Amino acid sequence: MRVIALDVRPRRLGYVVFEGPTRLIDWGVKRFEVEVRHVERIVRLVAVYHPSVILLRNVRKNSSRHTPAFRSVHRRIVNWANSVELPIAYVTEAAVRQTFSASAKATKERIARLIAGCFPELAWHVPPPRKLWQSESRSMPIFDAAALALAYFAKKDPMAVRKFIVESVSFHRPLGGVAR
Amino acid sequence: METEDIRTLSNYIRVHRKKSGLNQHELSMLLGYIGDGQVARHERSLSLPTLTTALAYEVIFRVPVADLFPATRERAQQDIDERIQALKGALEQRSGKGRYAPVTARKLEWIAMRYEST
Repeated sequence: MRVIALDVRPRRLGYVVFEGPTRLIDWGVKRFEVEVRHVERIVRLVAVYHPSVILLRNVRKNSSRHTPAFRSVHRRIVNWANSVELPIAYVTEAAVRQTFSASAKATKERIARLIAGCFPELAWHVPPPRKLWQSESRSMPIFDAAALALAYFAKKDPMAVRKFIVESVSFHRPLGGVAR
Repeated sequence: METEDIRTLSNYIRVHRKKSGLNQHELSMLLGYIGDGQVARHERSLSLPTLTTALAYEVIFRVPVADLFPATRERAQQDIDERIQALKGALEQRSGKGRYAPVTARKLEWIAMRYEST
């Protein structure tokens, strides 16, 4: 099953393409000057990868992410997906944290390091620990999107995904060594 | 783990390039191209690489050509299967007598063996 997971921000789009939970096909972050560009980029990704489903984060209405700009972009994406009859699946924040919370509290940084442990090709994107006064790293949407995808697969087969995460991380390198 | 309904990508050059961390320009340089347009065209399946370039991709990524270009391989397989069936039909219509009978029998045997082994 090929899926595209999207981390949608008003001016950014993080995406990952997976073929099953263990095969990462493509990833990236795109920055836009105008909000309408999100759909253009997604159309190109879908044309190349023919996914079975698009994964989006289920953003709660009281979340700080649920801004008018986000709603506008989200609505455009959903309308487009409906027009081409491409199914959308929503992944909740709780499902993401549950997937990665085996041994410790699943913070964004920790999830990013775990994902980089599973997919060493992403390791160089892992941002250094963020200081309070710093903005979020540009590459973080990649890990947010990858976390959505793995949480989606974990919903279908939780044991297999958790085993994959644990085995990959212990095989490749200790957790602390992944971050720059 | 479910793996059904995956429509094969036409090629996996971009996948392996991104895994390696190379950009299109660097990959073009490794292939001996001057610009990076050819690699972009290969990745988007707008053109097929020459045999030399396809083998160069194999050498660079250490992945068999058939795995880098699964759709092309699948198409070749289908075409060959159809032509072999046509050839088999033609051979079977030949009479089993005469000086060419042994070689015709050998060809039919080879075709049968080919299908058994797959």
